[in-house]
Amino acid sequence: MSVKRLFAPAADVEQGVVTLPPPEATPTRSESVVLVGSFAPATERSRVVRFEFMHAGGSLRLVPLGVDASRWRGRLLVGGQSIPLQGSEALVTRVSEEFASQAAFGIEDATRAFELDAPAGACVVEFRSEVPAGTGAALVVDDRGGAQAAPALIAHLASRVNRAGGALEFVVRGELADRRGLPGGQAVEVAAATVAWSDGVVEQAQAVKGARDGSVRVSFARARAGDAIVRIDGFVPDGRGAPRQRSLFLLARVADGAMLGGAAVVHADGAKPDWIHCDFSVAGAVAGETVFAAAELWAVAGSESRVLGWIGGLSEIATDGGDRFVRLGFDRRQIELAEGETLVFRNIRLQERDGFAPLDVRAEIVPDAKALPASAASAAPLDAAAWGGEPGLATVAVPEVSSFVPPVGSHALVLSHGYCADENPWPLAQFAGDAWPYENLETSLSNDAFAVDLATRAAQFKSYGIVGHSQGGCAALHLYTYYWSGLDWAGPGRLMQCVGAPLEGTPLAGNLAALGAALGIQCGSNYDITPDGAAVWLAGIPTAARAKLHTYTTTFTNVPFFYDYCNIVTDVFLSDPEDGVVENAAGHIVGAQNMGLTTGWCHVSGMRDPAQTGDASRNAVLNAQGAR
Amino acid sequence: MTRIASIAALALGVAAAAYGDGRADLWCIAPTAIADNGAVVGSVTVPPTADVRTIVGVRVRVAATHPWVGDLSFRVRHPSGVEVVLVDRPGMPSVGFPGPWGCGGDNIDCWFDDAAAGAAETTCSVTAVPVLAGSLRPTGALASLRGLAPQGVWSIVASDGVAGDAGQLTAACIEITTAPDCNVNGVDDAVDIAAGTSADVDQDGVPDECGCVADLDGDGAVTGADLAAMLGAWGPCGGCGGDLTGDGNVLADDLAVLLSSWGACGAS
Repeated sequence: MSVKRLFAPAADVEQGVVTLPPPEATPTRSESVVLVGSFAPATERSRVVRFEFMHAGGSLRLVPLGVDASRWRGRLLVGGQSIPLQGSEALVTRVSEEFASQAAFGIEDATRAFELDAPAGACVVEFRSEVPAGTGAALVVDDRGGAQAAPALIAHLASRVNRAGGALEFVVRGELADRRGLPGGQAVEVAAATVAWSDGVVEQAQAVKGARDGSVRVSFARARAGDAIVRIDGFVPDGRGAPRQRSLFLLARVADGAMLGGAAVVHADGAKPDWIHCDFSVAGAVAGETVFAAAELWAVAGSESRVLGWIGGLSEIATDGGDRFVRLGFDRRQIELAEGETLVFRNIRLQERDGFAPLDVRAEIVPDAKALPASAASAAPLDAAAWGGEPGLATVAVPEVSSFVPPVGSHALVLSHGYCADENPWPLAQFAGDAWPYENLETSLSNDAFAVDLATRAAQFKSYGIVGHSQGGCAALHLYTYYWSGLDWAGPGRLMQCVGAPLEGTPLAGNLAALGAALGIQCGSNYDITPDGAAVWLAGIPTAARAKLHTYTTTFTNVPFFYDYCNIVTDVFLSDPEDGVVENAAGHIVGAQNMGLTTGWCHVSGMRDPAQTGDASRNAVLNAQGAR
Repeated sequence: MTRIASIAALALGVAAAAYGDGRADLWCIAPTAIADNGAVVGSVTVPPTADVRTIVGVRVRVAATHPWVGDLSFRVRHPSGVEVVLVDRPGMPSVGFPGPWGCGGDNIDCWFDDAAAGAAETTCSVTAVPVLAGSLRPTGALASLRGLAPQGVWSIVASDGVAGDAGQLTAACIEITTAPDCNVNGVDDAVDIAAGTSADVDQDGVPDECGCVADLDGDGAVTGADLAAMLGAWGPCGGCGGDLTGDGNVLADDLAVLLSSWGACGAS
């Protein structure tokens, strides 16, 4: 498949659009506790699961998760009391309950959320059921009670590069907003930290060390390649000094593969004198392996330096007499190489194709300047539309799609579903006859694999625009940025439109991965939709590509005294406004066309408000404005 | 049918003046629709000329509006039936362009010319409109038309190979460069003379086998007046008209040439 050779102007570097953000920029925060377990035999017919936690007293919302959860019989044991978890008008302990969808977690059955006041102390929540022994169960414990300033446990990766064999380390801290709502640092006590590596091995943290600034470093040694699900349990004091139990799940990606070799050669293409190849030596790579590579271009003269632009793209590891290298390139007309200045690469990076986890980063490489050709006479800057190079400059291997649809040859509006969808959510009747529903259901694909699959199936059309829901929007942007496809041939109109796309990830991703594994559901982990995964992915997308994306977000209708969420379960993990899966802030990105936030619509069906893909008025716009 | 004197005139839509005096002439067909998933044949009749001429060069200009040039094929057809493919669904099979449908760019306005650097088949851009522009090398060699006679019904065949998009052939012209070919051997007479294939004793630029070399007084016939002139110059002669063999003498061999062409020129 033909890939683009990306070029971004200096402004994209200066504004951080194409630079890897520091890991502290994408923290995961938690104001709740999530406990997991499984049902064990209690009697001949009954099974029981117990969850234990510490409660600082006051409001408590308990939400069990699992198959058939709405029929589990529960009780809370605290301070010598046994409080039945069912709707109650008792004066001492009122328990309110309401049904809640578990759709966001891939469970068809609804569950119930219980709200009550409970005394401080060690709590045991017990559920009984007739489900088979070993059935997974989870409990979400939310003690915020509508408080404006709930203490939060916050963690982020210590480094953007996490390779197999090295340490996987996190920085953990506490936070509590002051009376003005401004966040303030808070002491944190890490009680436990575990990691489940992708090969199934579960380990405790090797080191938990406090730092002077009150944060705690949690380290897991000898990381194993793949997705690692990390659980951190701790206590953060509230405004009264009472420790509040918190837990959070993080989905981290441990990379394994190519590393930069430290050398680069720059030379002109034999057939296209204006095209400059940049070959970066690599080590530890398999020839033919595809990676994402990027580098900033700087001109250096003495102690002065200025950024010229940024190059990037997917590239296969190539060999030259036993030496391995990864090739990028740029059209020399993209930059104005001043006489006497030296071309230098800075912030060179390699990232995995799937998930874009950073493999290696180098601060600077001075290329072999002897091969740098003299300035061409035709050094006029290129049109801005040339940011992707030319088709045919480079290709990468892609998997074949067995269900390839016979060619049609027309022009279409592709309607894409999102991550792990069980159906295409777009109502076809609200779109014109040239709309085509892309379907690859109940799968978990990286943005890259999703984009390639989408392009391969949509290759039945000459050209198309994409309307993407959820991760389908991310896949569309990925496709347009990195590959030549029918998107590039589309006629006038909006090339890509998305609704509820987790462009900056969703805090749910770690919980989805952890609960999916615990409950035996879902489509597997998906690093691309974590805040970390989304950040390192977005850092490869120049403004020129983002500008072709129109983003829409939605949120719930706020009904005072009844509800202020799309889903009572996911509400615990998300910051308002949100649609039950994606926070508004994460559904829009710098450089894209922000089409706004509308209320009254949630991410998928089964939530408080209708599914956002069913908004007929917006669909009419998506249909009318969509490029074909 | 429109014959146009020059490329500049073509742009202005000006009709041509005289035909064939050694320069290139443009012959254009009328604009026509290119049916979706169909073909259209536009023709122009090139009339015969007073003298015998041969084709020494052909270029073809095609201008068409179409939203997906990868659908289109163009051929030029000589009156004899010889065809040259100008372009056949550019970008097909894929040479790295997006998708399996060939070049998806809009519109064509180019000259197909054997001497062009870039090949029309592989020229494509996602941004340029028209996507095929300037001077491009055709898929087949227009040189294969050299040596053929120019007169007759020429055609340009435009076809659209994929349903879904239609277009319009807005201009299609054949530029035919001809040269005299009096001996009808398919070679420019000047080339025949330069190569020694034909003699040009009188150095009039016309192969002697075509000319009336013994018509010394130029009245269109070899008569007694010409015989008298020859006899008057009998003997050694430096470049005189009667030295038909060019050997520096007017002798019996010259007389034999004169007598063999007795009568009206071109009558034999």
